[in-house]
Amino acid sequence: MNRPPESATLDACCFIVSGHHFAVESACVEEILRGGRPTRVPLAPPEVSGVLHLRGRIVPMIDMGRRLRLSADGTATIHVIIRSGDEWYGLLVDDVLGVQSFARDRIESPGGESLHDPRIGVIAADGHLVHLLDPQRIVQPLFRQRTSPVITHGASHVGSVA
Amino acid sequence: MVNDNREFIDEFLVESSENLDQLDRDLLALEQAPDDPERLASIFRTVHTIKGNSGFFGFSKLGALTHNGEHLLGQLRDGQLRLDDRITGSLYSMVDAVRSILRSIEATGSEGEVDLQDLTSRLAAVAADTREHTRAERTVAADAASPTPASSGAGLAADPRPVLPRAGSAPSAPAIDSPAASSAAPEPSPPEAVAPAAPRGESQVPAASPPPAAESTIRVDVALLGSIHDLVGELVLARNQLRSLEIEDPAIQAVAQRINAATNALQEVAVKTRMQPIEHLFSKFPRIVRDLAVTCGKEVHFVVDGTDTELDRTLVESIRDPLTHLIRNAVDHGIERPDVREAAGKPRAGRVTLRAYNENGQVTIEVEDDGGGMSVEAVRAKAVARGLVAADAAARMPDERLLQFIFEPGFSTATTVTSVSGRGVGMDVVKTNIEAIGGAVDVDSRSGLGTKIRVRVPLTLAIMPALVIRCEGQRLAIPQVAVSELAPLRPDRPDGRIEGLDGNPVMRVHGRLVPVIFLDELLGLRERSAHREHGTVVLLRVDEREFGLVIDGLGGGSVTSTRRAAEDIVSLTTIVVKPLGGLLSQIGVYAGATVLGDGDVALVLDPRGLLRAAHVPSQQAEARPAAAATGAAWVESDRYLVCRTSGGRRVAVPLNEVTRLEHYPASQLQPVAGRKVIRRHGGFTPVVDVDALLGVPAAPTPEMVHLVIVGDTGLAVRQILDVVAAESPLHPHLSMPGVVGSLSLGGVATEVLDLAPPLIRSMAVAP
Repeated sequence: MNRPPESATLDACCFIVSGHHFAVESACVEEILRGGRPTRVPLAPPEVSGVLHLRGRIVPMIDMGRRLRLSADGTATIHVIIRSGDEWYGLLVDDVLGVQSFARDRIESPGGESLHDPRIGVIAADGHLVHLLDPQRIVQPLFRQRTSPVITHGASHVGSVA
Repeated sequence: MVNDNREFIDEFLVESSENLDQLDRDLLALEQAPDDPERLASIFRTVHTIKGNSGFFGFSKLGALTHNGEHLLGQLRDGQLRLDDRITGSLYSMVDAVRSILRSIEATGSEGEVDLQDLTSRLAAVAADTREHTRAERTVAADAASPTPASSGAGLAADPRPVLPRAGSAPSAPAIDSPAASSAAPEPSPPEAVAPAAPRGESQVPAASPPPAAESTIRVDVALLGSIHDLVGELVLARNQLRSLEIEDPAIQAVAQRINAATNALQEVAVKTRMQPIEHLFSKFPRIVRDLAVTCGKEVHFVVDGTDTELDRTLVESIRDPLTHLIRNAVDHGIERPDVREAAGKPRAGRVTLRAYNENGQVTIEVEDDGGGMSVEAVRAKAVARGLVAADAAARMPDERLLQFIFEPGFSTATTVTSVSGRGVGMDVVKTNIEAIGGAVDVDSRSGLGTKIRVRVPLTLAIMPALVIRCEGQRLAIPQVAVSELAPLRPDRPDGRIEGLDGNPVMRVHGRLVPVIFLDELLGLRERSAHREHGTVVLLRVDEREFGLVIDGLGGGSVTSTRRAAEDIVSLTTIVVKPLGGLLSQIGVYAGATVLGDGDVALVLDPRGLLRAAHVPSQQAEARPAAAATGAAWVESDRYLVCRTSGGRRVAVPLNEVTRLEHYPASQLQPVAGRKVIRRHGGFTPVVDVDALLGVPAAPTPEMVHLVIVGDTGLAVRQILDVVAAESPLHPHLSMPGVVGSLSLGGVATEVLDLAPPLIRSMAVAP
């Protein structure tokens, strides 16, 4: 277990959203939560599906289907609980594949970076691409997008995954 | 052996650091009352203790330093010396030197390379000089009651008090002798004593001195407390599940009962362990203010109020830096130099007040100064120049809104007009930090009179009673402290009906008209629900403002579950508020979230946030476009507010022009520059007697003044009668002053007031 400071591999928790493979560094993952009924939060950004109580914390759940602009059919029930800074977030995903090790030199730049793109790397693995996501960048764009509490509401969003 | 010693040294360090804080406080108090023997004795004891301990551990420098200090203090105590600025200065330097040695011991285990020769000899020199010193000129406490000539400006200038107007509900907590004082009913601050408030409280509670406290307390790792807290939370949920089971066995029932009771008690205790009086934080500030005042050449009288207000200790840490910044700002940029103040007719010594109190399940902390204030015009110009707001919008914007621009990143720069300069530096950081913990910050400032910054932080994890309500299948909690009344919605009765649906919906409650917010619409849960037949109105009161919140009903019971234990139906329940985190607190209508009895999460509404989000007009409402467009003549309105004037005339005001109805004791009306104004929401609203508007001599003012707020003016009437739909078209009168015409309302011909803004304004200014 004595890894050099610059490890040649990266352990990442892999999950599936709308058939696509994604991953977050496993060091940021607190736990995997199956089931749970989030309490919806009116006026929250549309990506926030609700909040759950978890070990004394109120944790916002982010619907990754919406966050990544993939189809959101609302059937996902598995949450990957991640840490970003001091706060916890739940990522609502379709399925969790578990932790995999990737050689760092195989991680390529996703290219075409935009502010709203949470991807920090792409890995080609077994005939599919795994998009490596940065927890902070998953959450950050939701912050500035203030949902104005007015009566008219609905589809209001800017930005998309590149 | 070494380790053992280390342990003792650690204890010595912690204890000494607390003693030094006490020393700071004592020294500050001593400056105000140099002959207080108890204070001197306390300081002497503290220094003596540090000296004794340093000898024990072999810290020779520390020993020598405190020995000299002790000698000096002994002479003061015995009356051989009198305290003067030189002695005070040396004592402060000693405290600082002791502190830095202790820091070095903590970090390296040794006293470090500090050169104390100079200080030690200074202490010795001062002590040797037993000549009687006359007290150097000392800061004189500003006397709140002393009249100050008006500086400049319009109506505000005649206000005799140099202090900022306080929002009426903003209480300055009374003296600190009883722990509950500040959280209980606030009352106006008593005339200031000369001594700062913090030490004053202590002198009345000698129990704060170390011995008894030390025996009854131990130190516990905060992380440990945190995990206890989390485990208690888990236990509460398990208990709740247990309670929802149908248990047949009486033996198990009895055990479940006991687990239930013990869990309740445990939860309460656990929460208390997280709370800490804000004094721990506030006690650092008198010293900071003193040092800064000396550095800037200012004279500052620092008043601390409400130090026993309790706050979650993690929050105490989070507000430390923002508050320090605000206080430094107040001294550095707020308070003027003594000569400038004198020239402006103010006392030489400025006043900075730090005040904490509980309000609506939040802790409010105010930093107020009676310094130069900020120029709204300068802020306006700057905001326009920076492109933050269009010029015409800025011109219409109320002052309170404009001032909020100082919280924009980098708003104030070196190029800013002098009166703003510096005040904005770092204010965006303050705002960010406060909002990160679910708090809010706002500013009120009058040029020439001072600035008040109000920081509100949630009482995170505090237990509070709350009303659990239902709205579109969602359960939400409202802090009970804001709830004044519940009323069913009854469209068939005049007192249960909502009026003015097209403009500002209002409801009659005990003869008052209060604005109404539809929670389902506000939260975007349902489209237009204005014509609903069923529901409940929760009357809320925040910052002296009353409004009704229309909800579906009450209910602590789960929406999904059908079988509920009887106690879960009770909608008034005690909740533990947890922070929502930055992402969701930015929405602005939630104060946090709580876990209900059945384990579900309910969001806790922030009544103040609801008011903001619903745009219920607050202070001087912005001039409404309708009024501007129609000019002198009002368009006909469906509904009218019917009032009786002091002289007994029956008059009507179009309901859609009325922003609020308010009631004040007549004593709160103040004559300012030949007109009457009332302080409301931290500002001034001109008051026009309707009789004067009609050109009739005003009748004697009754005890209670009823104000119909129209635009930025309050119309004083004797009685508010009703809201009535017009039964006839408006019949115009051209020659009658103050009246646009009359129409039939409730079967009676009623005059409709001419509310053309120019007329009102001229009336407001006329004597």
